[in-house]
Amino acid sequence: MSLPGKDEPRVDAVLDAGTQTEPDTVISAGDRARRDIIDGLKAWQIWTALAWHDIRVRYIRTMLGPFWITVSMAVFVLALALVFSGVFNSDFHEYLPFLTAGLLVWGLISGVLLESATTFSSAYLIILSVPAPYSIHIFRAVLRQVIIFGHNVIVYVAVVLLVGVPVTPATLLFIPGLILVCITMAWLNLLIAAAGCRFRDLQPIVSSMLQLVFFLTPLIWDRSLIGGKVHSLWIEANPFYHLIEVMRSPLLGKAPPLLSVLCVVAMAVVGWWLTYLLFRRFRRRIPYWL
Amino acid sequence: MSSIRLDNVLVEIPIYSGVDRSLKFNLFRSTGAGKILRSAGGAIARDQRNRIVIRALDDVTLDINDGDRIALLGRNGAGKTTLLRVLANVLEPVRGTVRISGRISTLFNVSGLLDPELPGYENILFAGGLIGIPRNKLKALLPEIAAFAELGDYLQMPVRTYSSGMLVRLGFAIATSIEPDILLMDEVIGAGDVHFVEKAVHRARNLYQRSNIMVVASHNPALLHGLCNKGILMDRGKVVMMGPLQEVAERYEKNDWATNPAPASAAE
Repeated sequence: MSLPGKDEPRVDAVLDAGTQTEPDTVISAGDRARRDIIDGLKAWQIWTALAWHDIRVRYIRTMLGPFWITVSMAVFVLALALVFSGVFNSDFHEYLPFLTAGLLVWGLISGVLLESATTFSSAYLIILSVPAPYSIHIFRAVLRQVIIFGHNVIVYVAVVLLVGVPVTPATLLFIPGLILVCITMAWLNLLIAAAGCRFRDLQPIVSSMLQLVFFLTPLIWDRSLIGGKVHSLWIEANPFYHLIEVMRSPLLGKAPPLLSVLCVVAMAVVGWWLTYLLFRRFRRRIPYWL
Repeated sequence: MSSIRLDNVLVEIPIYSGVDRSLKFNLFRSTGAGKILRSAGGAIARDQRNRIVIRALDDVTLDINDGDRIALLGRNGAGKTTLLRVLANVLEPVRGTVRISGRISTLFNVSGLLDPELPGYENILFAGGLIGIPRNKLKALLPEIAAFAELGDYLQMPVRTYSSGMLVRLGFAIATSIEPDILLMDEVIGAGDVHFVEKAVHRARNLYQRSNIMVVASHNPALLHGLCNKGILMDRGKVVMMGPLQEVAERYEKNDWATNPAPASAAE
């Protein structure tokens, strides 16, 4: 255990409501940060319930319930596919699955990022009343988007049945792809959530960046569709392209490109390492920023 | 065995909303003229990095042990809620040491944790889960919580249909359904109608017989007689006095403690 610095406050015995840790042990900032994330993961029942609760409450007085997610995705995909298969002069049956798979993954990524900056500030009541790990709010937010993704998968299944996308053993690779993307989104969410309660400009910055990224990333267009007029550096230097590709390729029945897998693994590892360093430094300031 | 020890705890809350410029002038004026400006709330000061901060807790040292049932008294903004937050371990102080042993239950704003769209019954499971009561235990406690809240058929209605007093009832019933070692309460007992206040005091009394330490913030010392044995009087983030409740309550009512000078730090 590392010793706390001279001026660093020492708080003994971290207490979660319900569980008691051994008292009279000095806990340093680093330990608290690590414990926050580990205890947060252990409290999976709480954030799973909270994530489902969010979905339920959002649609509680609607007729279709959470299947509104599915319907709006289906309408969006169908309309875009009809127009843009014409724009790119491409075969609708080939374009539709490409577009659907891409937008499916994009929905997950942009959904997490859009709510990242307000993850902590919207949970301020819990943060200021209950000594629970902060990371549960992150896991809750990521899982909420995964649940929405699950509803959107129905649209994809319909497309598969409709136009006959090849289902191969490689299709199963979308599961490790999903896990990799979630790990990456979790640190991004934590980083943006903490920074977002200190710097309130982050929310508008993130949402306008996302609009830009939506057009810069091959989602409605692809290299083959525009005849190589975009330099591949534009595509491959874009981290979002790799995040999309580790899931989109398997969904289209192909193994993901090795470069994309390596990039996403690197993002997950380096990102978590950097985020952890910042989190151990700034964790205790979070309630002051709310 | 439960205990709480605070040593030289300082809590300064930085204010980031551009008040800096307009405030500079006021701080200068009030200290420059040698006048003592009194206001509710913690001292407004500057921290080491010259940011405007509210000094919510100023050098607080406390020793609370088994059997202590403490009434926290003080004016609005004296630091009572901040102190409870430090005790609850939701706010780490800027400086100082906090040592706590024992299982804590907080009664801060449980009614704020309720979800307006869910019916009362589901909210018991929802908010109860949030404050750390295991789900199976909650299910067993459900009838007891429902009986105490006395909300009848309203427990099947969405919570957004409740009046604020009904929200307090439900929140209080949930938060006091478990037996913690250390119980922290913030202004909850005074809310609700007369009948409910009586019930709440009775329930809190039962609860403290099972918990080792209790700290209750309130503006109404009369309510706390018979519930607490000690008192802490706070002003501007400092502990003015700690001792037997009778003495502290008398001092609180005398109102002579509220004459401490303007924050010295403002002149720095």
